[in-house]
Amino acid sequence: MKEFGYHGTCSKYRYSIETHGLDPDKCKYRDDHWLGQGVYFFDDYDKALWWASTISSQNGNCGSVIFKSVIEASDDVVLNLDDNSQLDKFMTEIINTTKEIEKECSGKMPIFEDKNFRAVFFDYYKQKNGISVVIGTFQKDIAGYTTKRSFDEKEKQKKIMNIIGIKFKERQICVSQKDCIKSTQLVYNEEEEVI
Amino acid sequence: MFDKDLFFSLCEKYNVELSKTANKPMIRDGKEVHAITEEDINRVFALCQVYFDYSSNQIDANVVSTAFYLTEDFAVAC
Repeated sequence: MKEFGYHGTCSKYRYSIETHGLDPDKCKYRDDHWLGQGVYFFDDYDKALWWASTISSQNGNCGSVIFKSVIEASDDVVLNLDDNSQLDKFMTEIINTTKEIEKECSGKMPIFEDKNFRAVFFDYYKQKNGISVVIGTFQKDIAGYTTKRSFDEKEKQKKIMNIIGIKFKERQICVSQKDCIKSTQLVYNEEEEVI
Repeated sequence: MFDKDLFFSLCEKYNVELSKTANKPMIRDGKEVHAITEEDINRVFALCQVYFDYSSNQIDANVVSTAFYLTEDFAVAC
């Protein structure tokens, strides 16, 4: 694969990123990382902008920045969960891993919660299979970057989307190897925006 | 082949509780703890209707209550 990715974050990380680049090894381990440990990108600038604004508002309105990178990796190190056959293989391996845990972890049996279950298994799969990039498209029936709606309108929207089975999509790319992130450049800095 | 060292190092990084007495991998679903089923796996790894309310750092991969729709600060982990 070779494509652009947009990483939105708050400005307090700007100088670190400009100095060291986007480095997965410098990311904290967070059990809310939906695709496991790594640097997350959107494939869409507007979504990265929305995310960066959200992060900024959670950090005392420190300002938002967006970095654009080239994400490049050979197909054998990419897990694309939007590909049904790869998703199927991934699910099969997760199921088989739980059976192996049952056999091998007597006396130290894990008790997961949803969030760390997901994180552990994604990272386990990635490291065991030499995966550097995971791609997945998430779906939502409410999204902060779409038309503002009242509560009642949102409820209607949710019902309609559940009936038609089509929702807003967010394609995300999680990169866990720094070598796959190239040509990172700052493309938006809220502090320099002229109002 | 199962990589025990890798698995337990990840459990440590993500603060996974380990039980001396359970005989199957377990998952906590609300207040209840039960052995992991394929249904749990499908639910947790579903890419549909998964919400992360960043403002409270809570993750709820189950059906989201209507209260979540009152805020617009939804995100998927980034």
